[in-house]
Amino acid sequence: MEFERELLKGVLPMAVLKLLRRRNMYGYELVQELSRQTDGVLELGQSTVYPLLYNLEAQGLVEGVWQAAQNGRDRKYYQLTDKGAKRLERDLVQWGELVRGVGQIITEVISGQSSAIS
Amino acid sequence: MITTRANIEELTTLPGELQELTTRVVRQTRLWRRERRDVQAELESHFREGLIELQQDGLTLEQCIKVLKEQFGDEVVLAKLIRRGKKRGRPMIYKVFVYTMAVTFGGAGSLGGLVWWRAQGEPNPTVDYVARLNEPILAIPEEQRAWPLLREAILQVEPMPKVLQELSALPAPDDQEWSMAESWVAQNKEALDLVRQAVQRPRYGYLYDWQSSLEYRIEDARRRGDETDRQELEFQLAELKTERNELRPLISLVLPSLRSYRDIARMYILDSRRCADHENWSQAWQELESSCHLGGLLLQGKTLIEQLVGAAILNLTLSEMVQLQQAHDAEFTDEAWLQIHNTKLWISAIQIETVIDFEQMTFEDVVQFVFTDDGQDNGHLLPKQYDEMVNAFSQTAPDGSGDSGWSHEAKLATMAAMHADRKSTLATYYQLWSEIARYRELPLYDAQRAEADRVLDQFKNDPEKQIRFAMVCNLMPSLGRADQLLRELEMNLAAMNTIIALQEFRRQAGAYPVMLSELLPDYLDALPEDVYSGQPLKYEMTEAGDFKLYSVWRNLQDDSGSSVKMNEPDSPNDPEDWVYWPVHD
Repeated sequence: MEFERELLKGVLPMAVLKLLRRRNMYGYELVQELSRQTDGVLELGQSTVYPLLYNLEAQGLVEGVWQAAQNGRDRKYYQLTDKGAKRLERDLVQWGELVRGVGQIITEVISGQSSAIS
Repeated sequence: MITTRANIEELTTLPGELQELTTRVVRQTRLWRRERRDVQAELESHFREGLIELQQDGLTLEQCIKVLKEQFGDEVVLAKLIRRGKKRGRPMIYKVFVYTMAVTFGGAGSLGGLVWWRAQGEPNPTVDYVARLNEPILAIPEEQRAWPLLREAILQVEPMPKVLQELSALPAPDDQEWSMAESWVAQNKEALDLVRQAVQRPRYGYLYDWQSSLEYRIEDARRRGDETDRQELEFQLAELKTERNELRPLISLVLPSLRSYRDIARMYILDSRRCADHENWSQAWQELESSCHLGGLLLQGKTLIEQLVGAAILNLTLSEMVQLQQAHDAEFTDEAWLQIHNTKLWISAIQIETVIDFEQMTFEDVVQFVFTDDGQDNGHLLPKQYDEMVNAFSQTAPDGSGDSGWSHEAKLATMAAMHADRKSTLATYYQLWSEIARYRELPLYDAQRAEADRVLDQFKNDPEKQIRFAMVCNLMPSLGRADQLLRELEMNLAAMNTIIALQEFRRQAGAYPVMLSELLPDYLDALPEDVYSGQPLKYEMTEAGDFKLYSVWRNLQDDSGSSVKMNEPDSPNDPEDWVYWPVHD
């Protein structure tokens, strides 16, 4: 499903931060995880993740570190910073409120439509 | 063809298409080299992971490459987004530098644009200020104007010999240089005769135009034998005649030779001494009277400089008159006394007022020549025209005193961008005038009068005003000193009249009066005012039957008439009192 860009704009950074809170990840892995954990809802163009990570890095929310993987190749792993963790907490609270509020409205609309039909 | 996981993992470099894609994206980011290396490594790592992942799903290398390229997205957009993200992460010092440069170059660019815009346009002078200045003069019947005769005279006058110029005072018949002085006067007899006729006319009547000034200067160059100067001036005159209908700025006017006027006055004084030496008292006084009248005519000039030269001539001549009276009054004939009486009447009729019309007209005229005009007094300064005008104005300034080259251009550019518009410039000029005028009207003894100079200095020394109102700073005259000299002249004339009245009183009564008020009303219309005290001039009888007449002068204190020489009116050390009578040797 294609989502409006503006809708995703605020969600993606939070989703990335949320994934990084569990463990450090590299770019390709993040793309795969986002898609997998959201059942394809947040399926990014593979390249989109890098500008997003660079922006989070510029804000000091994540930090990228080159590490050698088990197969011997270098990967740049991103980890959540303290500042990133605080931001995530704040964003999650706000997101929860938003979902609750929007959910209520949508429920009312849907039930209204149902009553009208019946 | 590589198809197995092992094959792909063993790749040391990416397949060509992906490597090229990575390189293209990285190049398009236009990031710093270190940043590009980082992004390149990360994207290569990304594709490597993708190849392995997809190969695990059973795709061939070609299929893997195809899928990865499709999923990668638009490379141009990606490069742009990567650049934006990476730049945000650059160090603070870089951001400060970029901001500073943006402000600097942006500012310089804006300033440049403003300067360019300000340099556009043309002035549109419409008011003929020279005609306005000459209008009242042209209304004077020609036979009443002294100028045509004065012009003839100054064209003939031979300048004072250098030896005489170097003396501290004009020579007397007993001095070594007297014969030289006498021959200089004799050499100029015709010119002096012309001036005698000229000063009989009631009005000065000098017409302020370029043609007569140039004609005078051509004649002067011819007399000096300066062929180059003469040819240059004749060329200017010919050019002027072909441009008769064009307005020319008032500021470029050339006045008649003021030096020649001074020389004429000096010659009258020398001739007066010659006549006195021959005991021809009537002629001696008449020569001084001609000099006085010449000074009086110049006081009618429309420019401050003419007024001040007139004042200097009058002061010099009055001093000579007092000396002549003190030395020889007992020997004067009735004819001489009649002439002296006429001088008193003439002096009583003189009215002195500092002229400011020319100064103000000049400013307005410069404005119309250096500002654009939309017909409603709105316009901006044209720096090139302003520069030319100021250069023309300050031609007499010492060479090398001004800016040159880059700094001069920079100053002009700054002025072009920052100078106030036409309306504000005029409004500020007149506001400053009226502020200063309040103090200039105060008497010389009022301490607040010094505020006039302070207000002007404060304006001219304000760095912002020096740019925003550079024109006002450059062209606003400092009139404090001129006012002072002209008010002193008023007092000097009143003192002269009082001295004549005292002499006449003594001739009638046999002695000088005890109090000045005894002169009223038969000998004097009013008591002479001391401009430095607001009271009448100090008058005292001496034990020898003589009198003392003096002003408290610039220290505003009565020092009992101590100390001064009448013939040193501009002595650097102000005398304690200014003594009109008796004259010190």
